[in-house]
Amino acid sequence: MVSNIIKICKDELKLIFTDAGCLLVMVGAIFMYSIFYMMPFSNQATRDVPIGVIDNDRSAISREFIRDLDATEYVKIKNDFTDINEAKQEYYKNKIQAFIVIPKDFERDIKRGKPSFVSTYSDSAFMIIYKQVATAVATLATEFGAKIEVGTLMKKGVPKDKAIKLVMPFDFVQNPLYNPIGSYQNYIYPMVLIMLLQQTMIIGACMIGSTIREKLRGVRYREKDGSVKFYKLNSVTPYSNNPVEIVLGKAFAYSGLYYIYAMIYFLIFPSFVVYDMTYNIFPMVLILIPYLLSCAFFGQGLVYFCSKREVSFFILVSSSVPLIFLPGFVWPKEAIPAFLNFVSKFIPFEPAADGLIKINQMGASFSQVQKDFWILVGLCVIYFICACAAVKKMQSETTQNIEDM
Amino acid sequence: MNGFWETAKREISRIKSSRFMLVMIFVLPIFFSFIIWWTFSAGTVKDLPVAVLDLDNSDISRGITRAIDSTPSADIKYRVESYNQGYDLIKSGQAYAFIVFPQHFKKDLNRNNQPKIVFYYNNQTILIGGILSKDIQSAVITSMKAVDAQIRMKKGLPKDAVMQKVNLIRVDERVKSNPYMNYAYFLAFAAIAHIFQIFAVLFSVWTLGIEFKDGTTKEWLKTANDSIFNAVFGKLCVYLIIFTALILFTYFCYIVLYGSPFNGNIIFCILSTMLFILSYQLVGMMFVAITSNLRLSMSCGAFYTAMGLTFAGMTFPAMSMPAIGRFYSVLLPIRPYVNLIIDQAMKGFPIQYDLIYIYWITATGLLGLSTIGLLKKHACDEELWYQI
Repeated sequence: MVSNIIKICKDELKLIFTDAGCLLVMVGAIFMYSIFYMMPFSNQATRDVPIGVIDNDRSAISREFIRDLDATEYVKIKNDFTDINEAKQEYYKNKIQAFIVIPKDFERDIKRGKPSFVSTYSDSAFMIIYKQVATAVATLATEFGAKIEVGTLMKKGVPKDKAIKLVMPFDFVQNPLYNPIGSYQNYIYPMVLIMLLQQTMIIGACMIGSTIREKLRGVRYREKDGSVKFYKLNSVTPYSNNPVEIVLGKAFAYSGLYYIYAMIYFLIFPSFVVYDMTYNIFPMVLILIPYLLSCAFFGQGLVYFCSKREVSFFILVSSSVPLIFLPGFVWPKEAIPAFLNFVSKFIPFEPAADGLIKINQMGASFSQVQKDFWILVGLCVIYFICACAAVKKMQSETTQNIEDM
Repeated sequence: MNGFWETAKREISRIKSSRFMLVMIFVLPIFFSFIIWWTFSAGTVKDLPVAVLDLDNSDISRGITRAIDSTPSADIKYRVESYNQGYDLIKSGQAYAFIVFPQHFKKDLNRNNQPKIVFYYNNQTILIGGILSKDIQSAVITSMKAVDAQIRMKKGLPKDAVMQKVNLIRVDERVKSNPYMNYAYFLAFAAIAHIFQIFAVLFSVWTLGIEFKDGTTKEWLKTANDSIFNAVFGKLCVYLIIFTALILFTYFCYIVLYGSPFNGNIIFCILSTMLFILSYQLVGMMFVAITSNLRLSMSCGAFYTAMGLTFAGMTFPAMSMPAIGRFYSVLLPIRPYVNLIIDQAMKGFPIQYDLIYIYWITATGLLGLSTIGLLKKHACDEELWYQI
């Protein structure tokens, strides 16, 4: 039993590195995608959104307000318009993302202690851009109001630090945890890496499996020397007819190879890509075992539905985007329908992303992600059975063909 | 023209003969679009669990806690006894944030010692962290102003004057496009376009590349009266019609059934959607023309489309990408298309401002089309058959 598994495992590894298609997916894509994905978010966050301003007051205070706004990291004032239509033209041309109107009598009202309204015309079709503008104006309005109040009190002879304490009776300190600068790279990239492991392994495993199915049915392939050869296999592998041995042998090959990739992703990459890692090694190496194994079984199980070599591409490339939203880091679990939350547990990526991001980015201990670990172990069992069923189906196709002949 | 129709008929009978293909074409793109909608169907984030560590336990700290609890996004679900308990709740994902009121908070307030309220939140989830931090900050600042007003009133100032003074500059937000901040509206068009561009490219690659793999390119060209244009467009038009119809159907569901805004020109949107699909199909054709190998061009197509949503600049703005990222996104029709459809559907822009996107999408399509001669040359070469 064990020797058969080892033989199948070795054979499978040889196959990955000799089949150009598999090589591209299970080796090439692993590095190409992960390196390519470093690119779009490498600036980490959106800063200096271009906005316009219409200053109807043109006073010292309104100019100071605009200067302070420009000084924030969120927005950059690009144009100073005289009327709203002019600003709209620039907005349509996508030159500015929003504009702000400062009312006439801004200074006079403020000096009299009367509230004054600053209007922001923004658009929330692109949420991140909208949020930058809204945050900039709201924060500045509060700070600016406080600044003026402090100034008034100081004129009345109140010392500065006492004036500040009077205007702001208590302080509100915000402490963002785990991703303090709000980097988009830290947010998306670790998830992309975890997903790459699953998607490329499943495509690869499924591709190998369905190639064997093609060969069991009989197929023409062109050899490297240019000659065309007709393939007709009689068994899934020459070493064993036992589905358990076949599935285990292949799974050890895939997950062993991917274990190395995972180590490269999580231990070597963080040192040269800008993304945070806690190096919380013990829980990480533990949870990777059932994750990679369940992916390997899942990929072999999917062969059941894929009779052609290229078919797995369709399913896996298009499923990545829906899948990335489900672990609850992009969109909170509380807002995802309960049924979807439940079903998503059956896809290895979901519990694995939940566990691995808590471990790698948030420093969770094993006991805090135990639930994810056991879900993955459960998935291993389920998909192991599916993979065996797929092998049985392939074997039954072989015997059918023999009878046909 | 005869060859065109014959090729189209041949393609339709091929699709019809395989139940698997029917599912892939008609069910899968709609299914994934549906899953995305379903995930975000709540639209906005409500009642996220938050923990509070109240070491003061005075009427003021309890009042601020209540104010936080009543914001739409936060729900004070846990009251913890120590910092560690708070951290653990965040680490294990049970809470997204926790708030600490220091000891003697009220006493320090009355002595004018400016005590600190500390707010810890999980920023690994940028979106959730951002919403919570924004809402809780505004709740706390409002309470702060109320406390300020109380203190001033004690000093004998009239109430109205006090409230005015503490709210000197107010912001009047006029938000266009998506005033409800609905995430499903926000993501819908881009995510649907992403799903369909994958299918447009992969099916174009599949239907052209399979002729090489099965060694049927000569038979295929013969059906098309030996015209490569008939041969290619006869095949692609079938998928063009199907995918345009499906994507419009998906938009229709979003707009009519879910109430996503639409303020644009319908005819313009339909035509540009068709152009968008066609342009991607022609890029798919280019991969087959260059590699003349089904599997290799599938890999190219997968790589080309997999990051479409990222480079569309919807989730992370294209203007914040480094130059090389912006350059790559120029090669993907999804970026101009998403800009166009958002301008039309949500912002209601006049058409003339979006014509530039049409030229952009067309240019990519023409780039793909320019390789059609190469495809013909390869299709006549039997040496390229049966490659895997």
